[in-house]
Amino acid sequence: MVVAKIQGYPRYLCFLFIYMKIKGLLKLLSAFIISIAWNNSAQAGSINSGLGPLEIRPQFIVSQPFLAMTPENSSTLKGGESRLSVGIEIANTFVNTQGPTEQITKKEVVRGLTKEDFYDKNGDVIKGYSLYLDVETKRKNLKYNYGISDTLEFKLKIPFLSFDGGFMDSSIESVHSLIGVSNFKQGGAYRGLSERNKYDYYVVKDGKFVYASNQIIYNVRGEPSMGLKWNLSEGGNVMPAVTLKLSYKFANSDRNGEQKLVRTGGVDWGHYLILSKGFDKWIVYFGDGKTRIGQNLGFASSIYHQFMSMEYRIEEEESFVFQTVSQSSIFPETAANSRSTVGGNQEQRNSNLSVATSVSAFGYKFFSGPIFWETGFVQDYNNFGNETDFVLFWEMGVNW
Amino acid sequence: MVSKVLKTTFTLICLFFHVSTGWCVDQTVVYYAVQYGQQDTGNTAPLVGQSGSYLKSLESKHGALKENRQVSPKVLTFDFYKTNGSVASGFGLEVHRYKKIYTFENDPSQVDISAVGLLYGLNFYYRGDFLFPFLGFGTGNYSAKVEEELVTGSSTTVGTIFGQVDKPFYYKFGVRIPLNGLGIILTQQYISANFDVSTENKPLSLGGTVTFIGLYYGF
Repeated sequence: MVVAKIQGYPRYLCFLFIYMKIKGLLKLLSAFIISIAWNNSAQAGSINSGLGPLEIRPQFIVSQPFLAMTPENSSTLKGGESRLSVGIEIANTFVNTQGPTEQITKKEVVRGLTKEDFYDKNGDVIKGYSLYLDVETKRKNLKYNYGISDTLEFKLKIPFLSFDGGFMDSSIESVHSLIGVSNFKQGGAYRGLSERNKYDYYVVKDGKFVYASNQIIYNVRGEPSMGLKWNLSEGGNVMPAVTLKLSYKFANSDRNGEQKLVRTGGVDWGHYLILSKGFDKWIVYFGDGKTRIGQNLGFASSIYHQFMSMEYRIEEEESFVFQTVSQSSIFPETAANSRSTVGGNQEQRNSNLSVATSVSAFGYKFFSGPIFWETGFVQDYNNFGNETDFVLFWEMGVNW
Repeated sequence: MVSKVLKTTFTLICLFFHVSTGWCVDQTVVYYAVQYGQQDTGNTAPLVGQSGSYLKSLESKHGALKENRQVSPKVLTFDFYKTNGSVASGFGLEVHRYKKIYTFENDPSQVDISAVGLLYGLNFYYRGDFLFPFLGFGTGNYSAKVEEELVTGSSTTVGTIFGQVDKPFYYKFGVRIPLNGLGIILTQQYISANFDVSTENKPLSLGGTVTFIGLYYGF
């Protein structure tokens, strides 16, 4: 009952009431309602949200079939408003866990990779995950948002995925060379050992293939997801805006052929608690959330996310955004030994794939009447081998 | 009595936080700063820190550390804040980076640690005539690489362990001394950031107690 009366305000304020007596509660409630009314009259248009963070999900190829929470604005569409958008996210990923021993080079890829290529250099099966990923993923999204009320927004998203060799390898290698990073060493991910713009997707766990694909796939429909976003409070001059976001991915059990690369056949769901605070032209957003994976296919059963986003509003309808996102690894901890007595061996290196990673992103958002545009890039800065190297993304849409 | 104090405080918080519309916005200020200082990773941050036992665990096998636990981070900061008369609140982003090599008394074992912290949080200033004291708190993430080369008798084990601290916590206070657009910044910071090193299954403290001095440019 109390919650209903103070709809739009943080729940933790309500919980404080529980610890106080009824008489005091009524006095406080009166003061609170007055403050809300006064506050609302002073806040036509939120000071704590702008055009919002960059809505980009983790793009690492192994995590593509699963739900992943994306950063989002704390504000919602107004009641009755709609937004339809299309977007594309192009991610270049190169990981070769056999690079240090040169067990997988151009020669082995042309011959066709076998599971023996993922054993250690003595030919023994090793524990943990071994990877050879030379991929560019293109995730196209069709998205529809609808404002159920002024503080509640519904979203439906359908992805279409393509995995191929792409076009970014030579540019990335050139940038590495420019800044003095060798493409034949760990810093350059051993890219120099492989052909550019080829597609190979191999994941091996404890000596057995999980994925082994070198056939390009185009526009395979992934599993759709829906979401609800509830703006609990717009905040004020001191308090931040508070928003809870829930997402749900539908299961599609049709996983024949190439579909098994982009569908899990299980239900995933997740949440993000988002806070935002405005400082005149600067707006900062924080988010903390978790994705629960229903059918994990041997990978992690949950993924934790945090983001921080800084928006600089050039004008009312134009912003630059800098963003960092951290997330736990899609690879769970394995029995791979993290120490070795024979130098830095593969099993010891593989044990690092379960470490959480971070990426930074920079983007631009623009509104012109009913049309909006968002574009930017994402860069991995940890080089742990369980994250994309570089991502470009665009989204365009229309509001009505 | 306690109940009354709580009620009064809560009422004031409600009224102040949700109703304070009387503040006028004077300006938004942006600061860039470069800082350098000493960080004692063996000294836990009061109230929030937990001591790391990873190096102590290695000491029990390889002898005492030859070096102290101090590191010398280089820090770049970017801050912006909105002034409201003589007080101001804002947001800051900091990049910390340091490296340290530890060796041991009893054998030639060695551990190299490199860490990069991306920290962000809220800052509050008082704008005096000559000094701008501030305090702040926040979180972020730390990425670290630990390279072990451990000698036991005639055998040597090696390991390279990556790690990330997802939810470090820091608080800090300090003062800015403005000299036109440029100025001097002094900061005392306390960071809690432990990550479990899988080889020993023990936490390593990447934070600690930090004292910085630096230059800033504001506009």
